[in-house]
Amino acid sequence: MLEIKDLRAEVGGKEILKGINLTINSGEIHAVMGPNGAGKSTLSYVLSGRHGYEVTGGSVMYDGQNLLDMDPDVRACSGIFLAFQYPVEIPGVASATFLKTALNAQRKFRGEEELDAMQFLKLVREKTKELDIKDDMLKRAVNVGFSGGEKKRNEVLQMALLEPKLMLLDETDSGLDIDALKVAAEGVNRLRSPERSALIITHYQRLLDYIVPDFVHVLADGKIVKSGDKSLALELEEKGYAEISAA
Amino acid sequence: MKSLSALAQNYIDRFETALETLPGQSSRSISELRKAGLEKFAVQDFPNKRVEEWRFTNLSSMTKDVANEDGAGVSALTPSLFETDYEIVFIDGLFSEEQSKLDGLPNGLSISSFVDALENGAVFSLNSEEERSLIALNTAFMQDGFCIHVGEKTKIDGIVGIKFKNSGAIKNGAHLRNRITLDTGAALTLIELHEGDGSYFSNPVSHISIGEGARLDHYKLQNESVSAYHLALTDVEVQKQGIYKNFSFSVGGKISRNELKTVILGSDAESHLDGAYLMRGDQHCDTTTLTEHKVPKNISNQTYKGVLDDKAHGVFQGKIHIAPDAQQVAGDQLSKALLLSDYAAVDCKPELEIYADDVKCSHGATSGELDDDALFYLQARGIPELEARKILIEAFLGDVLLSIDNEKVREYFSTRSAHWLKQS
Amino acid sequence: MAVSQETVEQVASVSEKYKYGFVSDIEADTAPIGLSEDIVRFISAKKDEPEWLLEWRLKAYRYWLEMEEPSWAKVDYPEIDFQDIYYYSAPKQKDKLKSLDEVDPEILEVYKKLGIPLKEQEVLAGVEGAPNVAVDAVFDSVSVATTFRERLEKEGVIFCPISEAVKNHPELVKKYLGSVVPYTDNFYSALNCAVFTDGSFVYIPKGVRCPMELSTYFRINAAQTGQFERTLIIADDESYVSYLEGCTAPMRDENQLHAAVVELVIMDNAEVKYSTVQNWYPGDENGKGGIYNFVTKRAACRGVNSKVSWTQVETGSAITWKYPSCILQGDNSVGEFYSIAITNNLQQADTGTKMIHLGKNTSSTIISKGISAGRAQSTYRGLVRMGRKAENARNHTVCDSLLIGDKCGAHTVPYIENQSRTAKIEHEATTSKISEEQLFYCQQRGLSEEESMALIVNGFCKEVLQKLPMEFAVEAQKLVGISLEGSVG
Repeated sequence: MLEIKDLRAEVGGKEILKGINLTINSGEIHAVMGPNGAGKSTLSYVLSGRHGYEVTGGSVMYDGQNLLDMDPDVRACSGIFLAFQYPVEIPGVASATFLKTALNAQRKFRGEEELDAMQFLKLVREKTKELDIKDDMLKRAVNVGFSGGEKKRNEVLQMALLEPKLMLLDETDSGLDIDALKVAAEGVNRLRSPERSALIITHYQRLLDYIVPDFVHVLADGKIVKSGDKSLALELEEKGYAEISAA
Repeated sequence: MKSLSALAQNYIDRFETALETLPGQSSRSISELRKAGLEKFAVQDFPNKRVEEWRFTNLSSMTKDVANEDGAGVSALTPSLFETDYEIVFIDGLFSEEQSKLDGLPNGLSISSFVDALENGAVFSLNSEEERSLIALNTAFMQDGFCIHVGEKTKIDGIVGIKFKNSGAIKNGAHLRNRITLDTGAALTLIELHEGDGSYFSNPVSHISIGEGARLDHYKLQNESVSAYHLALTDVEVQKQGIYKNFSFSVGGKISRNELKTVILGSDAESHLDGAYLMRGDQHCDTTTLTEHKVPKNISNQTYKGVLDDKAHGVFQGKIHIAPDAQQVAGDQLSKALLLSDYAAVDCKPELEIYADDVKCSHGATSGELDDDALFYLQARGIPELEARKILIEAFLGDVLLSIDNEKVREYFSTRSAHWLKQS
Repeated sequence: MAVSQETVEQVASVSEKYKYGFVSDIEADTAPIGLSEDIVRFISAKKDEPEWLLEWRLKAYRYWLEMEEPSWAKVDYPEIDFQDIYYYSAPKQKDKLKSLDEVDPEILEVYKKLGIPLKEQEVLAGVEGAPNVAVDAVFDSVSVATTFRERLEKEGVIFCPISEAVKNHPELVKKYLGSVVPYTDNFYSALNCAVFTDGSFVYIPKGVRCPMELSTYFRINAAQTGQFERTLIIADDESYVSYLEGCTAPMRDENQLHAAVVELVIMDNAEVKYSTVQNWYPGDENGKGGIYNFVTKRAACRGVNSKVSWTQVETGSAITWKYPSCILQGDNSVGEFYSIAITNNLQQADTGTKMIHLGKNTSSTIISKGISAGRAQSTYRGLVRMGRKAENARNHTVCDSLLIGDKCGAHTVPYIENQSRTAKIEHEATTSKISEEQLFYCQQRGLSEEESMALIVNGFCKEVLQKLPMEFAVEAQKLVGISLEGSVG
């Protein structure tokens, strides 16, 4: 599904990713762990196409297409969903409007019929119920005045609704209490299927207690220095990044 | 062609004679400069209400108040209370060597009078794009002033004081021309003290240049006589990483205007213009600022607070101008005024002119009376109304006075505002 | 919520450029080009006006001759040749309209093509079940159709072309015309007084809540024609009316002048809501053509507890020069100004309001949202003045500017004059660029850059859009998206 080869990227003239190699097949969940400044968030932004993150070398193929050629919205419509570490506030735009606009943009892209207001509301109510999210969040402006936990829940709700093929979770666990963490994990686990993959970027192992990854990679100084199965995460927790990175 | 005001005509009429007594008459270039200034002034006259920048300040009473004949009686000058470490003193617009305190200046600091500076070949000029008639007038009649220079990486401890004392003996104008230059990495703290008695017209024009990484803390007390006209113009240029901090405390003058123009020419530079004005009677106090951001990545802010009693009139005009491509600039402006009487008034025009998109600018302006709830709260705790009012006014002024970094100056201005309040 | 969702769909589906840019081929009855006393007399004679009105026009014309075009606004345009404009252009029609059927079918066709205001063409066409909006349509300079008149008459509401009001209600017109905006007021209002050809007249009698929205629809059609409409609305004691105004013009290479005057008179306990969606032709990407929109709008809140609310969405015109104002004379009167001004390409807008507080306990609110894109310049210019007798008056102003791209400018020029100790004035303004983060966030959820922009800008404008009547709100939200086309990438 996703094939990253020797990916190099810089931000503001500074090289952050220094040759990443990573292949994610359908149905797999990969976790990328690493210390602060290793390039974890950069990786998620490069994959989702954020302006200012310049790819200087290597390639990324997604479903057989060159991902790096696509505009950010085309990547989104093609099934890549980034759950933001810091979800953005958009004053004046109701969450429901935002969600419906996004959903219909993606449906249109796929050549599907757009949902009308009633159909959309029905669908979104199903999702909020499943995820135990309060409906009143839909009426409020996107992320404006949301607590940290609410913002992350909103990300999970969007993910549930948009049903992406590749989920990128950027430090989704940061700033969450254990209950919110469970909601987030539940959101990912519900979507787990042989057709869907996920890349979970995290500093701590605790999220991986709830979303069990197939593979764990250690990212240090812009490179993947070690890969393994879920036991690697536990090992990291025990020994710390320094030792693993040095090994 | 429209006719000139009587006062302007008076200036023009006596220019030729004045030229003979004004300093620098031996230098052709200075004479030429004066003539150019006069020509520019003659086209424009004194500013009137038709000039947008002067819509709130009317100088028409000046003609009768500062006609050409000099004041008869000379009153005793009030001694200035503020102690400085080095001092240059002007009496009725002329440098007074005996009253000045210029011995033992530290290395790297030089202070000279305008006349001395002229003799040493200092160049003064009038920018061809300069449109302000008061600068043109000053150029024609500049009679004295000071030049301060701080050398590279020289940081001056202590405070340099500039005292302007006016006795009212000479009514028709103290046209002082001043220059302050801070070289790369220099630092200086300076206070201007303007005081006087009687009726007169003070028209100081200052040019300030702040080098890379240099810092100037510039304080000003405007305590002119309540019959005086104080129209001051200060132009500042700030280079890369330079810091300019100005705080003006105004309590004097019949009509006063403090016009500050700051041009930021380098990145990571800062300009902070703050002030407080306390006016009563029929005093008029105008603060006009223009901050021009010419290059990316720098900040400016302004906070002015005014207290207006009786029939006093306050004016704040502030403009932030951000040039195309001057990205990542932050500019803030705040003007607050308290009206203590039914006949006091305040006019405010905080302006933003922005040609770059990656900027964050804001301005705020409020005016009104003291907060009733707060007043009641204090009274309910047993504080008499008069006292409570004073406490609230002091609190209103408090946060802007706190922006003064120099403790001695802060204390001095706080004392002065307490003193002003006592007279209410 | 329904409105905004519908809008977003519309924004997404709209991809056309200026869609009102067609010229209708309707035979026009036109005065000779240029301006003179004779032209003023010609217009007055065409309208079969009484002597007093002609005299008033001539006084205005003579006064105008002595005036200078104002230059203080932050707009830049080549000098206007006032002798190169047609001051009168009426679509030719049968002597007098008896019913809608007699309206030139081409004009009705025009309304169909316009598509806005959404339901009004249905009204004009007499479609059954059309919503309760009474419409007066002004085509070039002449009012061509006013609907629902009978129903309004039952309530005592007068809604008709001002030229008709001059004949049928001379006492009202004579009393109020020029009483809020006298011909001496400014250059363009003087010009308007001299040459205005039509416009709408509204009178709401005592105690009447106008049963439907009133709407006037303006279109400039003929080439080189100036449009000088004059609107006069009088809300008598305890009355209420909501009035809507929409404007379009065809695409033309040359600039056309629009200098309207709107006067509102509001008595005790009465309220007028005046909403405008201004979408005159803005000129092309290179600034060629477009309407010069120099408009004087003013409301006199004469009565106690009177209230006026101006809401405007300004997306069109090459140049906008417009300051809908409120004179808050009656005690407790209320003035509101809600504005969205969007400029793109080479458009220039200098717009804002004046809130003149004279009475006790008067209050005003100003919310202005300016958006600049392309190489456009947008200026908010506003005055808040508290007179000495305006005890306990209040003003709150919020003035936000949004910049899209680094070639445009956004300026804020507020004048705040306070002579009242007990008055409270609060003014805040911000200028910032459209957030990169917000754009990326929307794009990451699948919205194109333009859709993202439209969504974010609509959010930025929400406080003002909410103030518009429903039909207009939908239209306005759509316009926000269209106006910004081509501003990204």
